[in-house]
Amino acid sequence: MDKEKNILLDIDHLTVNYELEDETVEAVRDVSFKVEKGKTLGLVGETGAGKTTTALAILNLIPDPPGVIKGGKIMLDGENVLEKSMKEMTHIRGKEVSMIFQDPMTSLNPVFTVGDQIAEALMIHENLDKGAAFKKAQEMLEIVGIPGERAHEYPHQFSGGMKQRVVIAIALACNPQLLIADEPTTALDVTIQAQVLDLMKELKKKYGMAMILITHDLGIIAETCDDVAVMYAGQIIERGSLEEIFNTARHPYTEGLFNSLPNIADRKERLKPIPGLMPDPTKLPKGCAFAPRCPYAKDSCIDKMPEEIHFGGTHYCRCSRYEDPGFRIEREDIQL
Amino acid sequence: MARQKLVSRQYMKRSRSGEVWHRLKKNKGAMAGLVIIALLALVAIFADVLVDYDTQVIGMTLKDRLQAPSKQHIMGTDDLGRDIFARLLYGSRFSLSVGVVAVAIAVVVGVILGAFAGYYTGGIVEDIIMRFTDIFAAVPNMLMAIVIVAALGANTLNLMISVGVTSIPQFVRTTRAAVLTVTGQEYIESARAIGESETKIIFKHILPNCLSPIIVRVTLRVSSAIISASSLSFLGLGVPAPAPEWGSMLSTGRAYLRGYSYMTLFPGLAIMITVLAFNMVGDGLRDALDPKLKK
Amino acid sequence: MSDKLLEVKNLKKYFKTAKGQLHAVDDVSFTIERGKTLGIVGESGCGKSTTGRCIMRLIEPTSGKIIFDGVDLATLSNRQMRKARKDIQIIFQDPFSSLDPRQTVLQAIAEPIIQNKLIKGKEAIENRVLELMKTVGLAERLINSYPHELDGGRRQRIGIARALSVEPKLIICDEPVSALDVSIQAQILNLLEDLQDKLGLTYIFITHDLSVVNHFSDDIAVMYLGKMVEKAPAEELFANPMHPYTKALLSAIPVPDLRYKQERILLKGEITSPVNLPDQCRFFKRCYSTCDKCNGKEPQMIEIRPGHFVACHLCVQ
Repeated sequence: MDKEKNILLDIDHLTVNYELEDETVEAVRDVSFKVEKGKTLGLVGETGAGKTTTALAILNLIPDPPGVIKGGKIMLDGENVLEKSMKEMTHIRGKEVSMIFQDPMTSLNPVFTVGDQIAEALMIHENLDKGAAFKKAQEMLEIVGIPGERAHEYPHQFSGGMKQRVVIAIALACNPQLLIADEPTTALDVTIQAQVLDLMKELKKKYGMAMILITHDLGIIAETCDDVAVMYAGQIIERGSLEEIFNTARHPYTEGLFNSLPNIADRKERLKPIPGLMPDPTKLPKGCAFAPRCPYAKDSCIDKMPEEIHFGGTHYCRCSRYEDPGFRIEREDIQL
Repeated sequence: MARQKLVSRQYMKRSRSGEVWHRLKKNKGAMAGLVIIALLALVAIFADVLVDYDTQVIGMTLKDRLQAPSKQHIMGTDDLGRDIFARLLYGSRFSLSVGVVAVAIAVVVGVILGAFAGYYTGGIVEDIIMRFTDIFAAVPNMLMAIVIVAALGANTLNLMISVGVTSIPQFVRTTRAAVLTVTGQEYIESARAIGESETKIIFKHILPNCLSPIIVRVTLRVSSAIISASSLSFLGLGVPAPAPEWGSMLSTGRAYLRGYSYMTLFPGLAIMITVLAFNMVGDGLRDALDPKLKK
Repeated sequence: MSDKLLEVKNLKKYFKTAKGQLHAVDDVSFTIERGKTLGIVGESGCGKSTTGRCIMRLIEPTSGKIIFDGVDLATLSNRQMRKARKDIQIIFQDPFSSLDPRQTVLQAIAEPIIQNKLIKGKEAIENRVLELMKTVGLAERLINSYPHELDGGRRQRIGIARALSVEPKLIICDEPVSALDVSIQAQILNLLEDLQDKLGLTYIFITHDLSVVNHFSDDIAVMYLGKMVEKAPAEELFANPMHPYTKALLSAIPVPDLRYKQERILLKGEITSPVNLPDQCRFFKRCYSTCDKCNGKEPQMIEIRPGHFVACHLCVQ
């Protein structure tokens, strides 16, 4: 019962479609997951897996049309976000839940100073007057490692990494309970990425907020997350704690992802890519979406939608092959 | 040897332009516009067959003057007893030809200048072309056209030239912007990497990829050229009387606006419908060519 | 036996900007042996792509020698250079902008063949295109497809087929996989590797992704602000990085393995641009271990172990 109390976000059977003129994209299919207070969930997947759509749904920001939420609940602190009015949502966005987007170059408004942009959020949500808000904005800048006096400068005077710091400052200004970071470091250089990730980890510890980190980079997940959900073709195909996913992966797709990466220990080892391509999201197969690329697939996988198979704890994967008691993927479990 | 001579033949499919046409066909407005334009073009081409110029178009029958629409004259007659419908039919020749020729002049000059300005950026060539374009664009179109016609004399050819010249800046700018975007693409560098010459790159890779915005601009510009031509004729600077240019018909009708409004109504409608048709096709083309709508 | 295919000597490329001269590539020298792969690594603005483009003179170098197969490319006329480009090809980063949207797969791959008059006759050219498509793993039925109908991985395969069509000796791969998804990335990397084995190609592999370059290269050169700061055989560089920047760069790679824990060196500050440089080590302002020499004089590349070069005053001591 204690655990239930600690749940901040509970997504239940979320389904989102994009209904275009002559076809329907099934972007998110029956996705359920929970995020505990103060924990970080990593959402991994490739382009078109439905990661960003899931994140936008939490903020009720799916562009409509063409996006249609077909079903499901998103409970944030016990209240269903999808039933909120537009006005109620503006109180939640930025205050309860903040989002950081991939490209820091375009998420800041070029005609306002960065101080004003941080202060704006504070004035809306915290009812501060302009002077107080600006002062707080300067404090926020200091927290993300930028001298407070630079609050009077405009976004173009900042470099990419600095801009992403400003974006983080805006996102954290109102002390949100949940921060959604959508590929926050993809546009940044490696050394700057290290700085920003370090900053985010530190701030998370300081403020105790929960975080959903969306990325395609398993390395970043390994360093920042407590739990991991792997998405493929709109579904969560494997979910578990960081250790469960990285050390005892179960789903053939997760295995494929790990095998596709160059091995840092054995540099000449040949890569083992996943054959084939992502399925067309408008023509998803009836059964397992990964079956056409899966080395373990049987004929039945094509027709039968896999159920969640649980491995104890929070770890489950969607793969019908596990109904076969002796089935194992090739990847060996890692003993720590 | 069951293998066909060229394997690519086996996999023939809709070409790129075929795809654009496929999308355009779905746009009802654009198709309506196309039908109207096609009808107008037919009328313009066969105007001599449909009506007799000397008797019906410019031949006066003063006893029939200022008649309201009737079975005999479905749009009535004008102040000189000429059938307005016959004159409108014949007038499509002037409007369409002025619109098309004027834009053709503007396209040829504008696209060449724009392509140079876009490809040789940062140099003196660009500066000269663009500053002249700026100066040109700063003078109001109508004023510029009036000056040109006044200087050269009022006849159909000069009308085309003046309307054409005033449209040049738009094409220079459109082309330059398109060329700039395309030149920055990696496939231009890729063409250079396989050893192609600059001229070949401009004509084979850059200009064909700039066509979409230019085509759209052409259709939209034809409609404004028709308006400009009509306006000039309205002011008496266009096609000289007694030729039935729609703008000059409007102008004569103005004096009779109270009693015989159909004299202005029908030429006005003709201009409006033609312009609307071109605009609808232009908008439709823009949507059909827009790569963002592509998957 | 060292069989040099390419030797770059003191390559420089300066751009004039409003703020002053930008030293995009500053005095870079290296050699590549036939059939080997040189990885050039660095962050944005370090001059790695400019270096690649200078070698085939898509960007005119300011000065320096580019000795390719015994001929200094820098001295060739434009016309001669156009011919010489047949032997050096480039694969671009962005498979969405490196193909002409109006060309079908057939036209795109046939273009270099026709341009360089390698094969005559429609049928012969088409057969060659089909052969190339097979080599890079493109299905025959895609021959009339347009690039926008294909996904990133397939488009990148077209780019590779185009580069291969003129049978080059050297291919410059400019971030060929960084725009692709992980699973597709591995497919393309394997393809490039197979092609090297089969055709004896020489690669210059330009990337910011250290784990990819480690997997792929024989030698690795690290660049920072237009300068080469370290160059060594891949294994040596990863096992024994000398330059403080290389160390920081290596430690910054996020590793997808929970067993692998390492101390991260966090660099302070950000990358600046190489404009109006004072005579000091370019890394001086961000460096965490400096000596008094670093501020006064720009360090030169010195071989401190066989094959391992580094430009750092401290490392040499």
